[in-house]
Amino acid sequence: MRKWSLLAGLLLVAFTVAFTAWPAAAQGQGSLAVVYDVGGRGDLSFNDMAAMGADRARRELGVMVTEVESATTADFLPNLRALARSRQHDVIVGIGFLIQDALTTVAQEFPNQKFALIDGFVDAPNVLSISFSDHEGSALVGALAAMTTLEAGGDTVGIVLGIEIPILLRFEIGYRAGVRWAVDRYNELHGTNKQVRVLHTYTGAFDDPARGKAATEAMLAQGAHVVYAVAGGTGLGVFEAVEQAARAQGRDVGPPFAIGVDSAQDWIAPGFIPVSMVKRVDNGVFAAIEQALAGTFEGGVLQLNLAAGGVAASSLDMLDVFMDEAVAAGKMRPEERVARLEGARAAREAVPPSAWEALNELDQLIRSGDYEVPEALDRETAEYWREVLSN
Amino acid sequence: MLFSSLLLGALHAMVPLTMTATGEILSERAGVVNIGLEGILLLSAFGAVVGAEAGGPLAGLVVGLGVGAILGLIHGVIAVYFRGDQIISGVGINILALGLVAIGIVWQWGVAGFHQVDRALRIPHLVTPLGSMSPMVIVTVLLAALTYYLIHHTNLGLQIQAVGENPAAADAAGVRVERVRLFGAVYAGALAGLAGAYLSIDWLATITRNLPAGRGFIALATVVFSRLNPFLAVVGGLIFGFFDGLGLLASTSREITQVVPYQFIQMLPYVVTLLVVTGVIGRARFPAASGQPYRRE
Repeated sequence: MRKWSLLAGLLLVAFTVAFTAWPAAAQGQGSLAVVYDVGGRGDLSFNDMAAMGADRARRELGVMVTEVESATTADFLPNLRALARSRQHDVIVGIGFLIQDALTTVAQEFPNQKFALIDGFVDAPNVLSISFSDHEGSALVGALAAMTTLEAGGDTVGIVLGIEIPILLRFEIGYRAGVRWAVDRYNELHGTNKQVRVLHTYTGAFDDPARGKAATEAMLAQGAHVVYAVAGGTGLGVFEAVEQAARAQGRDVGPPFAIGVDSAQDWIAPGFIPVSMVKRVDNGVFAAIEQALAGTFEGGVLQLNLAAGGVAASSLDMLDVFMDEAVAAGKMRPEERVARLEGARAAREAVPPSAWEALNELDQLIRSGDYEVPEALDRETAEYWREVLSN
Repeated sequence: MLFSSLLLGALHAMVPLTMTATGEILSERAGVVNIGLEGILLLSAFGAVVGAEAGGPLAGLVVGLGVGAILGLIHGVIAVYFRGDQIISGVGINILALGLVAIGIVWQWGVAGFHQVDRALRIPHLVTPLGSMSPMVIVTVLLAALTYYLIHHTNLGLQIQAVGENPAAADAAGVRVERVRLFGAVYAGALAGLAGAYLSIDWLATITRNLPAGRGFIALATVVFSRLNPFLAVVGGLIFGFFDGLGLLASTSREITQVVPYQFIQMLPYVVTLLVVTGVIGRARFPAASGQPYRRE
């Protein structure tokens, strides 16, 4: 506990110094402040994605970046206030839904300060609420899943989700749409009439790997070839079940495969996760400062879709950058990094080229607006699309 | 394929429930109730990963068991010697574990949220006709048998039952009430510790901030369900594991979920357990002095 309070104390001191003796070097170049979620830097996920955006802004726009970690949710309010009071920053970005309440309050107190919020919504003219088109990204990985399955002679894919909240319905229906699109494409190319069944489970938990594992085992036993994990920590059980099933058959590489979510999770079970649906929080952060500097900043909602780089299928480059960060931060040994990257590459190569073609083709169609991915944010709409997409 | 997968899943899901319940059965027989089992599972799961990374899977198991035994000892000392409220002490363990493990993951590995266990550090599995099975399944059943034997067929077991039913009489007969009760508390902690190690370095191969996700509490329910009989705890753990898996299996079927909402299907393990408890097994009778501190007159 002492180590912790010492750290908190140091942070406080650093903070005070930063705001009393801040040099005026930031002038003319713009300044960005980022307040991280309680997970903080180094989670190799959500927050590190945000940090990547801040780094890019520093590199490409030459802005000063102030990063603030919050030990607990109670720190959000004072951190945001201190940043706003300094009047140094062109925009202050809050990361994650948890910070929404604090940001709402501070945005009211400082109406002339620009704010941005990732994955939440604040109804104020000085706040840009940034939301992501999860359905479009999910459709991409759905297309890959279905094509991989069909090429292997399979007919079943799965999706394991956390708690049934509106955003997760959006993931599920997007995935189903991608599967359907790929099946139609396959039948068109081969003159067949094949079907792919999509099994889905809402496990009711974001933090229970055991349930994720059990749900995935149930899907694998029904012949699922690829399982998409949209369940936070529960997803770790999905990866584990898939890896175990493959290894039980003496394989170091899938099938079966799992698909990751949010960050490029391909490294978590190297060899078994050919792709992840990456939510580009970094692009959200970058967009906020870019708009603020260009003078185009307006409050409201910024929907970051596929075309705008808000969501994407993970790439090896992305993974490379991500693991560079991990190694630099001392969180991953360099030799481990090599092994994990090799595993991710092997998983990609184990997926047939036609699956990658399908993913890329759908990517183009969505970008150009020639294919619109259905979006469901409530049960009725979701049930409607489940019905439509499975016929 | 489907059935063997379900059965194997049930066997693996049984281990943390039954093993934890088995230890707690002995402890409650001796009069010490520990609702901090969830916290013990979590902390020992964390300890086991640290141990395994330092000295291999066996060291992981030993550390998990040790962490559990120490927490059991702390709870036992509070309950037996300081005559503290056993509920409060148990709640304390749960809260302590949540905080310590969240910070511990950051300290130990510099990452927030979760840390994965390398495959080489995991307990090797057995090859069975059903598929790959953890040896801990067998250990769990053996421990249940051992505990049953200990309670019902040894001198110590007689003392355990005596201090749970009537500590004053046992005391008058020369039984060292405090020591026997402390043994019960440590035994429960050690078994929960072993179960925690199973979670992190065997079954799930990861440590998260809340890895047991309520299994410590379900183990407590299993204690009641089993009427303090370790063999029935095996049955209870299996029934729960089986219907949990079956519920998840059924909820993947749209034909079923269109008729019965998946939330109801996923209640299956709880409903079945309740039905069995009230319908088939009947009322459990607990030791008269369970959960009460003993004061010498």
